[in-house]
Amino acid sequence: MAVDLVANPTVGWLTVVHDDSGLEVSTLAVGVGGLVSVEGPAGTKVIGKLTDAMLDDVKSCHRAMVVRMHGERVASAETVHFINDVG
Amino acid sequence: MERRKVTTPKQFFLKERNEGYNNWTLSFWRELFQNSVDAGARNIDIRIETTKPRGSFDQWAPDMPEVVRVVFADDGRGMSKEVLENVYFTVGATTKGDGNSIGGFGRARLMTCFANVRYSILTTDQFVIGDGAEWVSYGLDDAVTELGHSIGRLQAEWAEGARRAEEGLRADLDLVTAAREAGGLKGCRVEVDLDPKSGDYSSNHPSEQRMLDQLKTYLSESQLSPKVTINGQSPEEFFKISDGSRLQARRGPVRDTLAAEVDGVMTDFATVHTSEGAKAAHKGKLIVRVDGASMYVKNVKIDKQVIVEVDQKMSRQVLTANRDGFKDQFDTALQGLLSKLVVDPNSALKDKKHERVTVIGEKGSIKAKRPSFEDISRAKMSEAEVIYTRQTERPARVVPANKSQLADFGLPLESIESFIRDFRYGESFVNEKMWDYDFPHSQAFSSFREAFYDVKWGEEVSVFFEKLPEDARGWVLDILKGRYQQELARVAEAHVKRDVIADMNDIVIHVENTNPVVRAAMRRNDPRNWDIASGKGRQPRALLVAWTEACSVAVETLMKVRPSVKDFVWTTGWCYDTPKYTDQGDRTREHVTEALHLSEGDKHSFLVNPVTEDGRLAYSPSDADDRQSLQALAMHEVAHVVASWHDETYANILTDIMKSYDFKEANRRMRDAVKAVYAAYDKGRARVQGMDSEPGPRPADRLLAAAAPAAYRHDVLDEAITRYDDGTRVVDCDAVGRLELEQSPTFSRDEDYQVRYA
Repeated sequence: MAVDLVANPTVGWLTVVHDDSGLEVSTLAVGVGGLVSVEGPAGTKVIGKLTDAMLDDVKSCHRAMVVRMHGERVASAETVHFINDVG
Repeated sequence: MERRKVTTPKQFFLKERNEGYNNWTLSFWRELFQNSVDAGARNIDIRIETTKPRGSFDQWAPDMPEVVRVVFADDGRGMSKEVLENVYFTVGATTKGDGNSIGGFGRARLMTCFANVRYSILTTDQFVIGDGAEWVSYGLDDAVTELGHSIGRLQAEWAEGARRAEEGLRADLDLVTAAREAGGLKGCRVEVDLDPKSGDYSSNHPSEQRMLDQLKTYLSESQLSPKVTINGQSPEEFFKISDGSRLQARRGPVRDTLAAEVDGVMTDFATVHTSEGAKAAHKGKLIVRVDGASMYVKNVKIDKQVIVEVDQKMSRQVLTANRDGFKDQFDTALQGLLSKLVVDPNSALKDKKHERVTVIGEKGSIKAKRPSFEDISRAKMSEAEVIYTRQTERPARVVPANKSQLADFGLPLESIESFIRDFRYGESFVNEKMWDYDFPHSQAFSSFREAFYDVKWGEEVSVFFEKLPEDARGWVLDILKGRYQQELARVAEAHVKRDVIADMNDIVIHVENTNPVVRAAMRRNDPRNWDIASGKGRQPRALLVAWTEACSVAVETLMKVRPSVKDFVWTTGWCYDTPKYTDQGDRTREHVTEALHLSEGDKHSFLVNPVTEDGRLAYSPSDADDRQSLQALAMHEVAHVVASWHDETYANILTDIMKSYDFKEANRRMRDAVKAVYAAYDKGRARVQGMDSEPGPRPADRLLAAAAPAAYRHDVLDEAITRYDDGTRVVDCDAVGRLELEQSPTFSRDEDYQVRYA
């Protein structure tokens, strides 16, 4: 499974882009230290830690979206609950 | 009639030596060394021993048990016959007016030679023997002949005194003969016999040990360029210094310069150096030196060694005749340094030699304008004020009865002073109303004006409160207060209107100390490397605007609490420093310069250290605690506009600023400024971070390709992506849109762009 995070501070969106058909996300959370975790029916999963530059951009984000890719196409895109402890 | 010259007994020279210097045994060495340094000597050889006395000229040895013989020889320029006769032996004359020597007024030889038991000088082609004011000089040939005759005369005597006199002359003959065979002596050799029982007080009698102690002290305070040997050994060997250190006071970095007015121009005349490491042997002392040669020493109450190096070319102008003090205006400058050292040693001894650049911004410096009290007291009355004047009922308030109640009322004293001055000269807004029949306070102000005839300048404010009835006083104070508040709002508006992102003000970069990591950070934080298009400088620029806003509110507050401060221009920037141990009140601890105030004329720079020792940004302007730190630093530095040193005046100003500083307004402006920077940098931009190391095309790249298929097919998407060392990449979404439009055959740039990307 590959997961990317895309932060767009101007519009305040943080997007998780992944290609794991089994990953269902209901909540995206960023902790104070930049630790990113997702929560879904299968429980909570830590997906990585933000770099300092990314952390700065994420501070300005207040909405989150999860996009699932299937090959070159967008399979699904939905907004999720966002807990941003660094914002 | 026979004309006679004043004769000078040796007692006169002895008194001069003992009473004319703070410590003549130390000055003895200082004078001899200075002469050698001035003469350009490269080597100085000192011999010192306690021995039996010998006679002067061909006289028998004096009846004293022993003398301390000092021989001081250098290889400098030496003295010619003319210099010896017209200068050295003419009290009050000196050769040292050429600006390349230390120079006194020819008094030193009274102490080094004339006051002592006997002396001889061998220099170039001259040999001199002297005793007090009496002396005789010969060319080397004549000296050989004359010494031979004298030895012959003494050979006929059998007394002990004659024997020692003869031995001494034979030693002189050997020296002179050797010099004659060498074609003259390069340099100067002074031999002096000191009476170890003579001196101003018993502990300062010139015993061999005392003279050696003083020699050691002198060398330890100096940093001489000639090589010195003592009885054939280096000073370190002779004084048994075995830890590998040199017997000298090495000067530390330049911390300050001393300047004084010379011919109407402020001229630097000395540099101030400090050392505080283990090798600084004179902590708590201030050593005044010329060309490395110690002049005199003062005690100072700081745990550092302070060296003041006087410019050799100006030393004669700067130092007193005895070279143990500064003259007139130069002493004032030195006293200023000493005061600073006592009051505020950390600031007084900051490194003043450093790198500094000013990055010129399009908008230049910022003008700090104080409220105009002239406008307040002279402006014609507005319609609202006229209506207010007609009202018979005033709002409930306490009308100040004396000037100390003005602050609570919300008016600075300056506004009253300005009003009274303008009223007196018929220029205030009240003057124009005086003849209006409906002006209710005509009589009161007429009486007030008449009262001026009996008071002195400076007492008008008291008269204002004493003579003006409460009704009239309250009326005029109400109007002045309203106008003052309007003026404050106008000045604040002028500050707020600055556009913090469209362009930049001048940015001063000042470097005190760095390490490699900080130097790398300096490049990132250098505004010349910032670029909104590529995203460079986003964070430091945000910090800078936050700092500038914190300073801006502090400047406005300063103008409010000190309305008499003249208008000035200011800007902000960075200072770089690394931690060092300094006295922090409770104990010595690591301290780093967090912020700095610099000034040149009426231009002030408020600088903040943007990084920690490890090169990371020290403050996040999004963080409330960090904003509070920046505000505290801003108040501290802005207070320096009025008081340079951390003295009581400074403390009062800082307290007043802190009392009136609007933290809420500062926070709002800092946040807004930071948002403006972020918005400019982030416009149409997205940062991407991969959270794993899966091989193959990244999901975000595939999403991008799906969003811009034409640009992806033509392999130009990379043009819109900037990759960073931390693994993240920033996609310029606007650029992606333009590339897609350019590469897509189905959409024309002009017509369909709005439809496709609206």
